[in-house]
Amino acid sequence: MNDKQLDDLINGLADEVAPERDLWPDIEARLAQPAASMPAHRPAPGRWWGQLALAAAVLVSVAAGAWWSQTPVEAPAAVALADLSDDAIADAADTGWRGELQTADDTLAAALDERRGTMEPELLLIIEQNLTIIDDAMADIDAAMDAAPDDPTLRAALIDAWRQRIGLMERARALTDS
Amino acid sequence: MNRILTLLALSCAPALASPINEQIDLPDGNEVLIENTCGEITVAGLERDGVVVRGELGDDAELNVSRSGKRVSVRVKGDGEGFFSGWSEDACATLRVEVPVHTELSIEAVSAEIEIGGVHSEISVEVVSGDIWIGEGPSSVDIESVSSDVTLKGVTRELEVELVSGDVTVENAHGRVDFTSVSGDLNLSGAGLSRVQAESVSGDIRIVGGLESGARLDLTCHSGDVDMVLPKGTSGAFEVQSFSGGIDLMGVKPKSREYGPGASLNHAIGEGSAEISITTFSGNVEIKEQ
Repeated sequence: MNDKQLDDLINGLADEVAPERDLWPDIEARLAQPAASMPAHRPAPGRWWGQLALAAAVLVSVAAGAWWSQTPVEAPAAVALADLSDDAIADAADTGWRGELQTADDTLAAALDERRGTMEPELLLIIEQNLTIIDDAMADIDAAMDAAPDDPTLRAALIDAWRQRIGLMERARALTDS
Repeated sequence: MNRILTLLALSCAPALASPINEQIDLPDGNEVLIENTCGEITVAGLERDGVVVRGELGDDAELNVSRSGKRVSVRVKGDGEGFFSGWSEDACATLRVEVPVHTELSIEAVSAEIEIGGVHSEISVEVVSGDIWIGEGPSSVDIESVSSDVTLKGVTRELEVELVSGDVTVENAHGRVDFTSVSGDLNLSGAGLSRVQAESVSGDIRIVGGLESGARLDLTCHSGDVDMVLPKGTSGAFEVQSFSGGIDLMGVKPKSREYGPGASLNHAIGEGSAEISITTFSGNVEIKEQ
């Protein structure tokens, strides 16, 4: 999936598209969790994603689409959440998105670590350095969101950073598959 | 163009074994695809039909030049190289290719220096690393690279550049520009810019040039700065915000943002016909007229 396809998917979801997988039961379950226990994005520097980056991209797209639009995706399960405020749903989507991604991150990091020895060292270094730049940016945004959790610009910036990260992962995956 | 002709005449490969001299018929207005794992690729668009391929091949490289319908393919295949896992110098080639001036050109390489001049049609370059220089003339250019410095001397209609790192310098740009990078800078100058979408995480974005009436610009940086220098009399509506960076829009004082420590500014100059949206996290924004 390239950036344009990812953009198209996100834009489509923002208009109204049901997710490929029903995220809302998980989101609903997480609504009961205290906010302090919710996982934040903390990717390890230099971690690699690989074969499952596409799946992660879809997850991001689904969650980001719901988040971006600030309205619930019109999936059947979302009807049960109709009485919740947009912010509560957005927060829940955010939480689910981060948790799902962290799990995917762990899996993908392990898969890509196995391929490191087959990669051209200079290009590996470039990609890792740039992943670190993105991760640092995401950490900046995360910290800022702690202080201004309702800032829509930060939310958009975080989604952009994820798009960049996934785009880079996708490119690395394509290179290793060639 | 003179640069390319000089390169065609003088370019030499480092210790490559076999000279190349191939020719194939192709009328102007068709397609040429060039694939080369590593080395150099120099392409010149000339006012004549036919494709000429010269240069040198490494010991482990094979050249195949073929035509299928409207497309000529120039393929160098190395022995056993992986796209990302490295290659030997013997799999490399120096290619000096002459094509008709209105050829639609596609280049794919892993690690190659690429120079293109005199091609007045669409150009597509996909490379992992290696610098790219493209002279004036192409109607549209599409570049995808992991790490390349890119110089374009002019593009008449549409430019799309997607990089991870490496700086991009574009002169005489017109029409639409799309730029995405993680750490690279964009230095864009031109006139008649109609749509500019530029995004970098740590790189800077600098735009010097005139906007078409009704133009739309979306510029986003995280820690990189955004600088714009516009001609006097530009008509544009600006929507600028930064979480923690500074904003200087022709001396107009920004206001504090509703969220965070930064500033935002909505301001129109002239009739405000162009729409310019700029967002940074910590990068500074400066916009001025000259």
